[in-house]
Amino acid sequence: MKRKVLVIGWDAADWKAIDPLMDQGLMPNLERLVNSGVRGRMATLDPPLSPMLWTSIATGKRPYKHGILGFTELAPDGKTVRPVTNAHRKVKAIWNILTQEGAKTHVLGWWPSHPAEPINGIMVSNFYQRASRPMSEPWPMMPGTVHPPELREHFAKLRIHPAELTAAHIAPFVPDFAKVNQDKEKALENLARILADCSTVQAAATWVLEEQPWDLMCVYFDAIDHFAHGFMKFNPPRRPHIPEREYELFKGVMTAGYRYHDLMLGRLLELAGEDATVMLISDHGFHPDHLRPLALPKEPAGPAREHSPFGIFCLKGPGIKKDALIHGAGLLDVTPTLLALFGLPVARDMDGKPLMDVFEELPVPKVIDSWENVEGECGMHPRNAAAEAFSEMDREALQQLVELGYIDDPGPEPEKASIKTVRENRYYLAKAYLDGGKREEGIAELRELFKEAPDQARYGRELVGALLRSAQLAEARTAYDHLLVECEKEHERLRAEELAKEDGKDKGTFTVAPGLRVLGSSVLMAEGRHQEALAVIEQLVLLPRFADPLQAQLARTLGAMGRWPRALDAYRNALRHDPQDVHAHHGAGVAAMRTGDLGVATEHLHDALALRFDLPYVHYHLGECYFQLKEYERALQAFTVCLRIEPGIERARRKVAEIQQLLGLPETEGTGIPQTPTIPEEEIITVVSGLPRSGTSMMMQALVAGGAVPFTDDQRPADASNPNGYFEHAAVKGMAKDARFLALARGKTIKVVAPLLPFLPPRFRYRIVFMERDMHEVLGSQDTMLGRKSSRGPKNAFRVGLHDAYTKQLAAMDRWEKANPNAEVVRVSYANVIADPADEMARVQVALGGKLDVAAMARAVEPALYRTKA
Amino acid sequence: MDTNKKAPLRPAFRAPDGTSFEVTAEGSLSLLALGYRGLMAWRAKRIEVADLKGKAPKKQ
Repeated sequence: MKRKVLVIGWDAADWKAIDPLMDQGLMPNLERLVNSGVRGRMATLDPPLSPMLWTSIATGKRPYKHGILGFTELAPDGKTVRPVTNAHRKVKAIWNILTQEGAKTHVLGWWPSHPAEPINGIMVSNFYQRASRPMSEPWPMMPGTVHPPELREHFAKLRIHPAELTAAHIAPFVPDFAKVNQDKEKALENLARILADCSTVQAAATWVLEEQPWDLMCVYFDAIDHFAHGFMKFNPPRRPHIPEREYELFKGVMTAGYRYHDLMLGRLLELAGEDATVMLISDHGFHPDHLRPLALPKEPAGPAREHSPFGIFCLKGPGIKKDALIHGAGLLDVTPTLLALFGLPVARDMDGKPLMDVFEELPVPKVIDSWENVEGECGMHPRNAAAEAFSEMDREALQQLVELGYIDDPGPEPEKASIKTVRENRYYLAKAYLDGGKREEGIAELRELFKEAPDQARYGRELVGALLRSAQLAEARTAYDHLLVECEKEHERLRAEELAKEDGKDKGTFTVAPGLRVLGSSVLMAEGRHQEALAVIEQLVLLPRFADPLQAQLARTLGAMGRWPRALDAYRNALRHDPQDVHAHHGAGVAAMRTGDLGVATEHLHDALALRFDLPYVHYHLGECYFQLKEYERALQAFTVCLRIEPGIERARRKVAEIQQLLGLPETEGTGIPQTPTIPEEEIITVVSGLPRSGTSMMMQALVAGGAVPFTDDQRPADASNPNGYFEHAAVKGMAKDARFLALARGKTIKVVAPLLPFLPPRFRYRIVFMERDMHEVLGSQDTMLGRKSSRGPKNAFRVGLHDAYTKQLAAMDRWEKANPNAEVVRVSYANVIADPADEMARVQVALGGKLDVAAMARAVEPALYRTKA
Repeated sequence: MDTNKKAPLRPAFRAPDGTSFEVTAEGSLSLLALGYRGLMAWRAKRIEVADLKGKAPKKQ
């Protein structure tokens, strides 16, 4: 039987709000859908902004691939701002792929879908439903709203004007509506507008379902998101800052909104027919509970802070499991799953995967490289086609985004607004890069943004966070200190502005806001200043409003200090505050593992994966747990999944090899683990590192003898400590400030002492030969060298505190290695090199690509220079 | 290409939850949720009532 698929989008729908209503029997149609199919949470993307998300849903690709980057975009004149259109979408959506395959496909209201694309079916754009003028005036429809154009007049008649609604429509939402002073309060007007808009989409959708043949039908409703931004704050229970009167008036709006959607769903299910496959999804959730923010940041897209990270997913239909739960779905998986439902191949250039768990019988997966290269009419607008010029209708849609608080009013100077728009979209692009694991691209964009607009603290905050996550500690510190200076400047500017007013109040001197202090504690933690970091957090958690939200940060700090039992307690507190905190589940899993409670650890790690399946380190730690439990097959599976998500995690690759050896299994080939992408030798920088006097010069000499090309300036002459030379380059010492010279070291071998390793920029690929030598020998050798340099002899050499400092540096090296998948580290024992140069050099040669002359390397080792022994 | 069986327009309006209801000039959420058929029925009712009162409502 040919499959028909109805996709219904409910922007911002959240199981946390829905489940209590279903339990009370208030959403019977959704309950029926859930019981006859599968349900699950659907992880959103960052940033959680709807036009970007719904485009990712429809394309299976992240924003930096699909090109939709915010709520607004520049009009073709390059000067004015308009609501986002589909003109900048660079890739095919599911409706284009199905058009190409000859399927009858309809799309209604999708965001963004203006101007309507000439697909094999009907497309009604998201500019369709909005009434822009009073009901007494004409209500023109913007050109490009409907495809095919001959249906334009028909669809125009299905639009419902807010003023057409009556008390009978409003009363279920606000029973005491008569108490609302409509001259002063806009709440009822907004409510009527939202209701009219979604009812218009329902009218159009029901007409299409009833009157047109269809294979795929996608219909999108934005009303739950809009109801929630306006009225979720009044949802029970009442919080102290919500006025009693408003609470009593509007406390039922969200329930009524969800119930109305359930009614609409019932009609759509009825028209789709029993045999149809129906998918109901949301792009993100919306906190209905104690996680509702008390205030929103005064920045563009600030209201998105009210979104929760998990939307909903339901699917029912022939061949789909019944009354089943699925875990780990993400919104990038929607299009691949739709393709699998239609028996079409999933493309490798998509970022999601088909949700195979939904099928009663697994379909045979088909794969192609990309749908972008598949020829045929797909109904997409020509590339770079600009949508029609700015119009009155655009301004109305723009005004709505302003009213919702998503964007600032462009004001009387549209050119300024256009600069802001371009910048804001670059910020969202940077966040999308970071969310997609493209750290360097994200950091590069944020660096530029923070440089251009240092008064925008969020650019700086995001930059510091990204630098910390990619272990670029020195720049993170510099950026953080700069951020504090800029925040103080901005404070003083606002303070002066306020004081200049007649009734202005003095805002007082600058104090570092709690959010910035938390960020500062992360910087301290990364620098190894754990006690100071802990002191900051412990002080903040004493404040009632931070006691719960900061438990996860407290736990991370304690974990970094190795205080695992306390860290586990703090993670548990964090999970009591937010049971859907993926990172707290992950942290609790690691903490429990470190305390030896492997059962609890696996539970938390599985909980994390049930929420988000795409986190490679959660799989890695689960693998570690199973490995410790000697459940090698499960461990192998976890490490394998880890590598499928992030092939660059060498630790996981080593574990896979270890388990394969333990179980006597064949090697990686055929297990589905992608090979590490082959990087040309001329792109790789070979780094010889270790503590000073750990044998780094000896290793450099051996590698050069074996055929490696050294990157050295020969400025430091050979001496008695290193009679064969130091093989150093002076630029390395200044690497913390300027590492651009490393571009010249590609394909060569460079010496970098261990304390400077964290300053290696992640944009290059490294093979690191790390020399390990007994610490007492290292210190003794340094004594000897310093003494030799001193005219007063070796007895005056100074070593107090060095042992501890070096131990800390080695620990920092370990942390850096874990955070940098772009570096492969081979650890070489100085003692082994001396004892058996041929054997040890053979190992080094393999790790460095197998092209060096082992015999020559071994010959270059001079055991006679092993003079300081422990 | 697959064609659809058209859903029959039932003689009495029923809400998607199966309960029947009367089409009134004031309208209702159940009518709106029915989509275009509910919308058309509501608008027809308003015209009918207005005609009875000798005053037609504004056309959409």
